[in-house]
Amino acid sequence: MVVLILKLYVILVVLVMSVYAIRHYWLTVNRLRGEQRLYYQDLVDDDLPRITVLIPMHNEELVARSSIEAILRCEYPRELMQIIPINDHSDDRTGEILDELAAEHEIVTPLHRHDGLRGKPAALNDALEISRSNVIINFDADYLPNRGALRDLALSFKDPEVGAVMGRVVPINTEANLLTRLLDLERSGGYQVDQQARHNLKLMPQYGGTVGAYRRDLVQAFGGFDPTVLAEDTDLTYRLYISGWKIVYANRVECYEEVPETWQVRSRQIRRWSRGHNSVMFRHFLPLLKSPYLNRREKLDGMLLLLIYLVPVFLLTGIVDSILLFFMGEMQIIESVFVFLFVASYNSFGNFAPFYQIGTASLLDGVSHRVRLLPFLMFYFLLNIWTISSGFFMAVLDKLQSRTAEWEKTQRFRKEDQA
Amino acid sequence: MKERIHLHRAYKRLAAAPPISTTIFLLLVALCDVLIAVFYKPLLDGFVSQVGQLAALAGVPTAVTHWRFLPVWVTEMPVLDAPASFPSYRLSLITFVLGVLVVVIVPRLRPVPKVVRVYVAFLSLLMTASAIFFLFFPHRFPYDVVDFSLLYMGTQFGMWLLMPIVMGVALSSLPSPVPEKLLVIVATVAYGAVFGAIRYASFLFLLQKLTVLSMAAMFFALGPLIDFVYMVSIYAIYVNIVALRLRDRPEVWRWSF
Repeated sequence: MVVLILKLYVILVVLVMSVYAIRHYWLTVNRLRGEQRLYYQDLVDDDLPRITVLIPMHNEELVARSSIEAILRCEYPRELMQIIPINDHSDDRTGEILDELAAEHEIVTPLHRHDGLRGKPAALNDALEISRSNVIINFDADYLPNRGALRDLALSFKDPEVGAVMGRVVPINTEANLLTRLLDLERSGGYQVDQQARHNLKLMPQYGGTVGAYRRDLVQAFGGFDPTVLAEDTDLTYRLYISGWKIVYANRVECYEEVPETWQVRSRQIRRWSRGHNSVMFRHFLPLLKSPYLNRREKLDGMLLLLIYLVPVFLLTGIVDSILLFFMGEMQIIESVFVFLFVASYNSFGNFAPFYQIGTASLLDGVSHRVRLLPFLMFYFLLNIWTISSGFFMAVLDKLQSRTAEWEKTQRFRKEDQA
Repeated sequence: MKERIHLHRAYKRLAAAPPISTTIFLLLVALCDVLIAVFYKPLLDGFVSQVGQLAALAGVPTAVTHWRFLPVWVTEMPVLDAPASFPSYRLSLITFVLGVLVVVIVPRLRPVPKVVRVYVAFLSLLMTASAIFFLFFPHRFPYDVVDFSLLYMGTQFGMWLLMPIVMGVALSSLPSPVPEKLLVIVATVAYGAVFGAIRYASFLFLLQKLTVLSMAAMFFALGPLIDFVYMVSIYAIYVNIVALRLRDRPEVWRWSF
């Protein structure tokens, strides 16, 4: 009986991996060969909405000035613009830098937070209270938007069905080392192919918490961002879809970010994402299936997206399961083929984007030589499996013990001359 | 100044592939698979014979055994038997201690890239698990060299069948001639056969020198996992070639605006 259960579990893992591999193949072919659904960038309208740009910052002295200056260089009427950098419990020079910028530019109105809960959701909630506009654009502290980004993001709200919009994230420090090059490949697969194909197919493009915008009144109607959630972006994505709003993806709105340059920092970042995403999964799985505003295709896509950080846990337990079967002498000829299928599947999905998706994204991006690093992702996925699984188990413990996860800041690497 | 200014990449795409050429390509991929399945006997016999010769070069005598039990069309599987040693209690204990030490120490070696540390820790965990098994249940170890060979050959043959499918699907959407893509698939399977033969011979050698204690690590950390690495490498090199070729052919691309 035990052996049968273990064998059935291996088959289940293979099936789950195959579902994801097929989904990503469909998205890949659609992006490479299908009709592309355009964004709203060609709308000609002088009546631009009033916007507020929010930038949460905790000890961001290395990047604060350059990021805000990049936003100030964006082409958007100054009289319709407010920038609120949020100094969230910083104990370095961040507050000082923000005050200097406020003195130089009238539209920069920093919010200094020294008490109350620390973390991005709580900081955003406070900033929403003092915002003077309904269209809110979010950037993380290290982001450098292109000049047209604000206009392009704000335009989408001319469509009354749109609740949020997401732009494309492009690493700026790609050439730093092997890790940053691998992350560039991963980001390329995730945005150029995955998000755009989901936008094309009217599935569920995701709001990613930065290089994105949303309607303030909607977020406040939801009760604001939940300060106990680490993935406030995924939380908002599902709240919007479940309530009948749409999220659009703007592939042309490119914004440069700094990706982690050390494996240590990357591990912590991805563990935090996994912990946050999985807690959102516990919260929204059933409401998603019950939502009257979504069709079956959207629900299926939404479900697969919600479960995405559970896949590495499946893989890890699948490996343990296979090892147990091996020592029990139950790894016979047919099972060995299953093991290959299983390994092949999880290799093709180990990094959130199968190799053919990343290869296609590189082709579209005109990246030629870097794509040869693709096989190195195979080793990177072992690390991902471990860190994502530990994030999942933390999320389970958070749920069981009703404990609140603490916000963890991602270390920055920017140097003066890189801004 | 940039030497050339490309159109924006945001809504760039290729023209829809002619259904005929995609269908022909996928049918040819299926034909590849059918050929491997139909001619499995000479393929497997040739493979095992090569492995036997390689093993002999490394000083490992082998004998071919034919297993006849399979319920599918592959009714007979040639496998190699070879002498292997069984771990002593002392070797199992040393492996266990060393394995635990590596698992504890390696994650703390900051100068070593974390990916390497994780892979080494994974390998050591497998060796430690194996050592624990041989410390407590040495007589219950369920495999001998023939069993392991059968497991290896089953996986190897499964890979030969699945490689054309996985590569075929991955290559199907790329804008390049059908014969070229087929050549890439054949090259991948051929590389897999050569690599598989060398690995099988190495495993037989290691089973003799390192005892059957290393069997689990061989299968889980150096088995199909590594096969996927070279498969993706070949795919990546080919995409690199296609990308360079397309750079000088802007007429291939379409823009949705």
